[in-house]
Amino acid sequence: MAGGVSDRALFRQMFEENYEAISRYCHRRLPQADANDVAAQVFAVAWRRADSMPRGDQTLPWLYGVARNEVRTSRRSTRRLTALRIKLGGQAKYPVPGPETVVVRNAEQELLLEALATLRPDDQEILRLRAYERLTFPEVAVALGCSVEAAKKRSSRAMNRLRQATGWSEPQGAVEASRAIQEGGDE
Amino acid sequence: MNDAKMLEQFALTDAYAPETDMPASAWSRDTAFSEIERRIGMQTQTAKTSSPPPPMRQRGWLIAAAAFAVVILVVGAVILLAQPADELPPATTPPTTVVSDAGSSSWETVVLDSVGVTGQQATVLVSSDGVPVVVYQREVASDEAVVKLARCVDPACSDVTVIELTDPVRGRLGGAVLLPDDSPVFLFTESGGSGEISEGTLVVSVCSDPACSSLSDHRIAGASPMGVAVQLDGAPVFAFLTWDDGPLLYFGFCDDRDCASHTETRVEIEEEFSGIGNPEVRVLPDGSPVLFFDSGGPGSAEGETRHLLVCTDPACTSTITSDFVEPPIDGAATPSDLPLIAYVANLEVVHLIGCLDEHCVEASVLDVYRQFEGTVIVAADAVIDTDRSPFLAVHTIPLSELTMDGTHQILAVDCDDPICGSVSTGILGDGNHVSIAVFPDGGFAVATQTGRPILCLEDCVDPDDTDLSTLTLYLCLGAGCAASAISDVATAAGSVETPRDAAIAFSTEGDIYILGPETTTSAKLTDSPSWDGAPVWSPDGTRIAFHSDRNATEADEFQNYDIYIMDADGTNVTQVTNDPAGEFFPEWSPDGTRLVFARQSDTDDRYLVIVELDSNREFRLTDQTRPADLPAWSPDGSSIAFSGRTSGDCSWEGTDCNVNIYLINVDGSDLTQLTDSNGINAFPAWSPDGREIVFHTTRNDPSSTIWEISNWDIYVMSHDGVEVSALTDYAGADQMPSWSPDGKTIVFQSDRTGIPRLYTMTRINGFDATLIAPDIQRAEFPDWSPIGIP
Repeated sequence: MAGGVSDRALFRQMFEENYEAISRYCHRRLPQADANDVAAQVFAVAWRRADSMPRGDQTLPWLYGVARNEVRTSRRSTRRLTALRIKLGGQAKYPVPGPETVVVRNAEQELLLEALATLRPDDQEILRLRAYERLTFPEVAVALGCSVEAAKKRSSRAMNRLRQATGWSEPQGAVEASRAIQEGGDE
Repeated sequence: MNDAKMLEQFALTDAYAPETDMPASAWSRDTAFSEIERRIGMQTQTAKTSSPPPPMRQRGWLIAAAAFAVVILVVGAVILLAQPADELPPATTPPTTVVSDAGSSSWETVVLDSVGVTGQQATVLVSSDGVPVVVYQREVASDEAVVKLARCVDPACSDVTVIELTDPVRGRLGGAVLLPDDSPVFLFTESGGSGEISEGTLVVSVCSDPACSSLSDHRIAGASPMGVAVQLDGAPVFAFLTWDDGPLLYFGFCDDRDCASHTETRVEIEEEFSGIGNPEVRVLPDGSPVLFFDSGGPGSAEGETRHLLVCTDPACTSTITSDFVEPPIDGAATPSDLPLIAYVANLEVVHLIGCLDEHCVEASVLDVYRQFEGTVIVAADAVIDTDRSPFLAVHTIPLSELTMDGTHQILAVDCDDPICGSVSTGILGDGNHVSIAVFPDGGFAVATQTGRPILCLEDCVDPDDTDLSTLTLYLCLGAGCAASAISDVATAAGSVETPRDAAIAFSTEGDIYILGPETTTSAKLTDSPSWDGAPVWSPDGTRIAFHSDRNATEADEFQNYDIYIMDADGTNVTQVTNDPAGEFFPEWSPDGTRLVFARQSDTDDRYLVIVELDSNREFRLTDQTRPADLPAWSPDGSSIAFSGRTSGDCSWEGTDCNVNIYLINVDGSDLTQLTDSNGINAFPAWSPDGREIVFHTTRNDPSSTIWEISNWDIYVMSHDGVEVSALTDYAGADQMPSWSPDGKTIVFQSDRTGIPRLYTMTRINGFDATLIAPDIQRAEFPDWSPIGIP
């Protein structure tokens, strides 16, 4: 894509189609101060890697994959700032409200989020991709750069871990329902 | 609860669900897209056939092509940029290979000429027999210079012949090249006067032989040089500007080798430029000349644009011009026989612009190297290595040194592949202006002026003094001249060597490394997505304790650091602490049986804890009356020095934070304040004999909040705090000192090169700072092994 005027028009079109979703993705995962910056960076990276960007329905999941890396980089840099503060001998915490604290929730949802925080970052991400970005398994696979089968397994594992963390056991019969939902996600 | 229900509940926690409005803080589409365009920059060419030029501007148009003017422009812009630091463009970190491989070749520093104010406008060339040749000028007055030739006797430049090529002339050197028989050709201006084109005379000087026994001069009145190259028939071709109610650009084709006469072709330039800078002439394989140049410039109203003007035939009967104004074409490599030039955009990014085909219809722009925090990039020059990947020399200035007398620096930037997908960098040394050439069998020669500011503004007449400035070559021969091998340069230049048995543990970017003997190699000990830091050697040198947030989560804002121990080769990692609080900065007891560290929970200020490693039993050492951090166990084992908050608010935005160094017995008795100074006095480290404590301090910085502090110095005091003296007095940040096991040397972190790196200083050399491991950036928490390499 990178190159002439027509490429720029295509890029602008791709941006228009996907900016909102990517911006939401970043705002869900980062402090407000960082989210816009990272969202813009996702598209800057997309321009440079246009040759490897899939077209059509796979563009957005692919952009989520780029966004995931950029969010990681941003968090790492925030952590570095924290480490720097530590070395300075400063004592106070540097609270950054998480984006998920913005909405009012019921107790069940609060418990869910608390449990989510105890999962490994990769497990958290796969659940967010499914619940927030509403990706199907093939789309999750594009975003995470893995096979569809692996995406299913990882999702299932993350669900189980979440279930353990919340203490919510899976009722009899729900296994089938759960499986049906996962299968349905393949469409 | 089944998966569907859980996902449904989970989705309800989404504050930014697709059904809702966009977050109020989100950028609008237009704002976001403008920002994206800014980031992807003006880096692609749009080729267009030239048309007759529009009416040009009034006379008075500067000869920006003259290198002098370009330098003024750049320096002016640098100084302009230096004033409001907060208006600088966003800084980025250059990619760097941290683990260096010295390879088979090493860099050497060779001084070619040190008489007078010399070494300016140097162009380094390599003759057909692989010998470096430098054409440069020596300044004899503020507007007079002598053009000189330095010719090495062999590729390694074991000796050099230096001759003066011209009498003192008012004007400047304007480019040089070697003919096929290795005779130098150079352009210079005579009687440049006020700098207007019509008042200068362009001289094309051709040497009779490689040693330049005699010269043939060819003069063009009212012209200014724009660069020189060699035609296929071996005669010079050059570009120049004249003035006729506006600037006119010409190619001059010498009719023979000696340029007794020339034929000229006027080249029509499409736009009305307010200045032309950094011209470079090259010749395509079919003999057609090309000209690269800048218009605008840093600080100019219309911004800076790079142009490529390509002649469609050797006589240049028509041209194609390209403006690099759109995003880059990635992934295109310039073949080694086609033109490739380095271009510094807006003092912050180095681009490579290269032809992709033999007629240069297509050109590639690669974004190679970005300004890193605290520096500006002044100039760059590039060649294509024998492995087909570009190699650049880059002239940078740390912002902290941004004065005319500042310490300028030459970096090597080594592309790891033909399209510069990643680069390695190294510091060659000081230098102003930069020129690079590649040897036929591999290796590079970089010429620069060292030891004096860029410009000799006044009173430069002191012709016979030596070492006012020097013409310096940074030289590496052979195929192994990687930028990562450049730490050899410091040794070659006679700096203080790190003891051979040094093994300094440090952390950078969240991983732990050991710096090996002679500081040329380093080994990565941890490689995890977590943040590992503050490594400290066990007294027997076999293990390393460190803190890590590998068990931390977003929920605790990554504050749940724990203490770990690993073997000195990075294996056998064991977790020492495991609780929700954060534990930081471990230090070993001299007998290796205990650790002391700082702990911070949500409810408590930071305090010190001692843990017995065998039993895992903990003892709290300090209470809440004195928030404590950064402990250091005394060599005799009896007491622990630490940084404790005396008063004020020590958060980022807090004011009047006052931290001092305290001493406490290991049983918690006898708390004593050792320092009593304003600002932060922290990071104590005991000398091996226990007589002294070195620490860093902000006492010389008047800032009231930690955010604003920029000046950290390293001080040493007697163990009782009575005698205190400064070891460094540098305007930037010298931090995190640690003693060598023999007590003669201190390793510390400093940002003197614009980005934090490790330095050493010794008593023997009066605590002069010596950069070690220049290719390792942002190294922090250095800790010297008590026994050397394990």
